[in-house]
Amino acid sequence: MDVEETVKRIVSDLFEIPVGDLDDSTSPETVEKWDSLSHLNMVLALEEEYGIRIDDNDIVEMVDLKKVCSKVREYLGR
Amino acid sequence: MTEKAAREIGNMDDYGYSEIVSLVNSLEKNETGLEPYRIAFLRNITIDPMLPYLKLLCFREGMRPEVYMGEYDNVIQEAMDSKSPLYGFQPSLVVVVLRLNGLSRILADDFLGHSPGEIDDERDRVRDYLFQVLTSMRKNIDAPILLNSFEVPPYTDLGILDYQRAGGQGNTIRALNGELREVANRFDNTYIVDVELLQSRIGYGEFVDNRLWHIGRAPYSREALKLLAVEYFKFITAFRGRSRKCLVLDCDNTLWGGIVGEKGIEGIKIGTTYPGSAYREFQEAIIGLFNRGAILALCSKNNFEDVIEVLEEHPEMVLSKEHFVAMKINWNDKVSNLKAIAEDLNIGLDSMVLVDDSEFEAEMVREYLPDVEVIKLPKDPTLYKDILMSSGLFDSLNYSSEDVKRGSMYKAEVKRKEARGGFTNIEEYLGSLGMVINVAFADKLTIPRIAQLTQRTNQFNLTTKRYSEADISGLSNSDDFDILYVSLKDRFGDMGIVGAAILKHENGDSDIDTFLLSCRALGRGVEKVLLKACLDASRKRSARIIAGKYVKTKKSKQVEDFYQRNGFNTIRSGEGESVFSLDINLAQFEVPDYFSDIVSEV
Repeated sequence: MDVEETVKRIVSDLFEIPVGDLDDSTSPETVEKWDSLSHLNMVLALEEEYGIRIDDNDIVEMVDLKKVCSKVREYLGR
Repeated sequence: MTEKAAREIGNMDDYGYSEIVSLVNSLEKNETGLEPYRIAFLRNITIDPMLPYLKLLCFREGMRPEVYMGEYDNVIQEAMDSKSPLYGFQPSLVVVVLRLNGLSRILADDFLGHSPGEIDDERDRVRDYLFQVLTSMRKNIDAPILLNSFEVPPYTDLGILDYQRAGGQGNTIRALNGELREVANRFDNTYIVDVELLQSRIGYGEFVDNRLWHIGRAPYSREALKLLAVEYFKFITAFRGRSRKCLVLDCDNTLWGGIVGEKGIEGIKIGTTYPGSAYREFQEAIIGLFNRGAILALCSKNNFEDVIEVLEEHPEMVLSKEHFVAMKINWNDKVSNLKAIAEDLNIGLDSMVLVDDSEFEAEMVREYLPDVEVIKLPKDPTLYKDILMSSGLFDSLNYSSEDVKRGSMYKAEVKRKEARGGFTNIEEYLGSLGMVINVAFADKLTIPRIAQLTQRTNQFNLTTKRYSEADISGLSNSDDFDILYVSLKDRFGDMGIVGAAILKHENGDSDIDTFLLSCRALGRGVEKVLLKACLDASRKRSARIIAGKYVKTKKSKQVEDFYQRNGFNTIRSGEGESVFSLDINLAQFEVPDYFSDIVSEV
């Protein structure tokens, strides 16, 4: 179960970007459709996918794709 | 891409949230030919994450959803501003989403800090606020309005003492919700969405997501948003007259446990102990739908005698042969059987629901008959009742005495069809039915059924205008309007009210605003009796000209030349709409002579 692959699929679906264009530095600064509202949608999608519940302070710390993946791994490891 | 492609979306539960977002994005790009449905939101919370669910449901039913999201916490301002983009948007539906903690801090968060007198004043203020919002909207639009009711806090201000007092926080908010309903009832086409009930379905802990509330003013969880979208869509389905009509049931492991062909009547599970009790409960829920007005049919791969024996002899069966208007119990495939049922009952496939425990049957029907809604039951029969009821497929916004009689009316229709077989000449057959028609003006007792007809009738409907009971009431009271209805009975049974017409009299002429006939009364010339009644009513008003319009819809093609065939002149013929007129004094109009009796109040 590759976390990076799944996270990229979800992000690609939500922000309308081809998976190939995504990398560690992908962030709200580089992606037009990644705003505060769609950030919440991303949280909803990740929680649904993994059956986890992400703490509020972790939600705001997911500032780029690298952070998103590492946070998800943290929750899966817990 | 077509409407059919939109329909092949299948079950929303099969998709993850991000998949739905992606699917909706691509549907928005590709499905540009669908009929638009414009939904406006006025709100004091962030509700956008709900939209992918609602939009997917719209696309699935061949509508192209367009959304106007009002500004955050600007509800009354937008409602009161006649120049607001809300009105420029020309919504098909307005949804008002107000959370109590934004509207009244006193009631939601600071209840004990105020005296009972102040609480009463605050309740009045909230009620008046909503009344003002609805009044302003109704000045500008006729579109249906949905209003969310308020959540009751899970931990009230007085704790265990709270509920014991009528004036406690919980009871105050519950009473306020009751007042919301009263306020909504004062307006046409305005309905409450029972958020308290939705919340109770999954529990407060699952419904409200306090993190998202604090981070983004988005209080509801993903599950809650899905529930809300599904609930809103049930209303949309009802507004569009698309509530389902016919519930088709499998038998084995659906109405009873086990396969009757293998276990015999003694071996199947139906009764007062587990698991039979679950099947009994399911049958009782089905009877509830029957009493609501749904018609029931059986579709089962079995020997006919085996199933009939259970229906007639098994002492624990709740459903009986009498409940079903059609029984396709044979070894043919279910697709053919469903098509035959639709033809026998003269209903569309898109008004049918199939309930079956077999994955194979469900998939086949979904593949070949995408218009039929399929509910595939899981292994556990204790889940059946809730699965059926939560679908809301038979939900509609009216309920009249005719609904209770509907099953027996359809059975009579089947008998008529059988009698038909013996005649070579249609007029002879129609004469043999002994039909008696009553034509009268609408009154308090008949208004609900007339309104229901305007909402449900899609085929023989000249203008497909949808009216609520309040609308019909208003027109009926107006001097400028006549509302006529026809009811029909014959020697097989009483079909009740089967047609209606709304006439507008203006400037010495008459205009047929609405003219429709229920599909159960087609092919008998009843429309001629109704049309003659329209002419008579107009003649009484000394009208010279009577005009009629045909508004084109997908389902009403059969009546596009109705007025022409009845002697009207074509005034204007267009792609979407045609207008016809008739000089009343020159009209030579004959009603068929095979009716046994026509009693007319006109």
